[in-house]
Amino acid sequence: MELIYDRLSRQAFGLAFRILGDGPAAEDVVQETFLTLWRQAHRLDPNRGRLGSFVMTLVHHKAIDALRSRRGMDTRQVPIDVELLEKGSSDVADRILQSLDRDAIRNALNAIPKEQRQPIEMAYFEGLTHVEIAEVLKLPLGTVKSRLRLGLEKMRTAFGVERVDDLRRS
Amino acid sequence: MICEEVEELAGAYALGALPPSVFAEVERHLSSCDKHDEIAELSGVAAALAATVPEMDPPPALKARIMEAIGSERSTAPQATDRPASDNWLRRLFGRRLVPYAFAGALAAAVVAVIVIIALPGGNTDPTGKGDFVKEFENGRITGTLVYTEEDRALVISAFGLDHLPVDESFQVWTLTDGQATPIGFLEPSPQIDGTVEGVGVIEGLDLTSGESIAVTVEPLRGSPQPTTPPLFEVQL
Repeated sequence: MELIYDRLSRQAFGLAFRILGDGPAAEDVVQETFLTLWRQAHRLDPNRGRLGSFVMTLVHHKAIDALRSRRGMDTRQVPIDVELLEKGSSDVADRILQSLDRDAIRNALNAIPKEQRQPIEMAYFEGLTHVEIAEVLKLPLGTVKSRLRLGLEKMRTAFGVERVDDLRRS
Repeated sequence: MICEEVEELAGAYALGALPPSVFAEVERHLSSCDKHDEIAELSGVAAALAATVPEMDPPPALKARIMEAIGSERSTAPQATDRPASDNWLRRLFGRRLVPYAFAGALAAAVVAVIVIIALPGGNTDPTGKGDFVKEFENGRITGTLVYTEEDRALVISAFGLDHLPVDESFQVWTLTDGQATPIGFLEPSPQIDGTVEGVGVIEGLDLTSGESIAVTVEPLRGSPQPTTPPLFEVQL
């Protein structure tokens, strides 16, 4: 476990701190993440690949919950189910993280139009729902939904992620 | 919820930006509809946003707190029964010391793959002794590195160019001494963008003083008491 911590703690703490802006709160999130990982390890797919993207997903989930709780807001997402989280998208995230460095990923985010990047950042780093984003930006809800999706699609293209359909045909 | 509505919500869903009730509706739809593969891709893209954030050093005391908490939970957990190998890859990574266990009968013919050990400048340290060492290896399209630190008694194996395995198989790691193979752990598979697999193993509490070589074979998911397939690669120590 120490080796896992040594490998992932800096990224985990960096993400938690970015979301919470508070050292002690970020520490709590990182601690809870690794304890969850330890406690739920038996439920994980033994053939699952790298741990990094999965751990960051756990950190993100817990940090957003802590942030919303601090603001007196309702929890945005359903309680953590590690199997559910794991099923989601680790393969794609793993491939992106393995094939691109941090700067390339950051550049891909910065390259998308601001009107798409801003709602994505509000959702991912500030924990706002699409309804709340629409209220803050004073945009129609449909516009926000569309921009969140288009922004991610543009990033996917920048990352060079093959579409699932293309993979199946190959 | 119909497919068009789910597609509209794909971005918000991928970013976790849905209220619980709407999230649950989307989940319900996805559980019975297989037309939304793109959502998994977008979720992966969203997850990669974590890498846009600079890394930060956590306070040193945090590691100690976490290890203490885990240690305390571990000591109060029910003891595992004596079984050949953990059925959980994470526990293999850090749950217990991997204790080699005896196997009945003589080892079947130990097939030794032809290995070329690449000696790069600085690549092999302490090649004759058994202190810390770094060894790079190559066997056809499989390449990789072994790193051993005597102080930690920890061996890290990284192998590239492996094939994907069926879900009921695993990459098992062995030490070989006098023709006897002792299981010491597993490699965790990680799919690579070129279609191959990287296998990484971190094995602690390992004394390699008398070990002659390290080998990896394909075995059933929970491991075998002795190798049942030829080594994918073998590295002389």
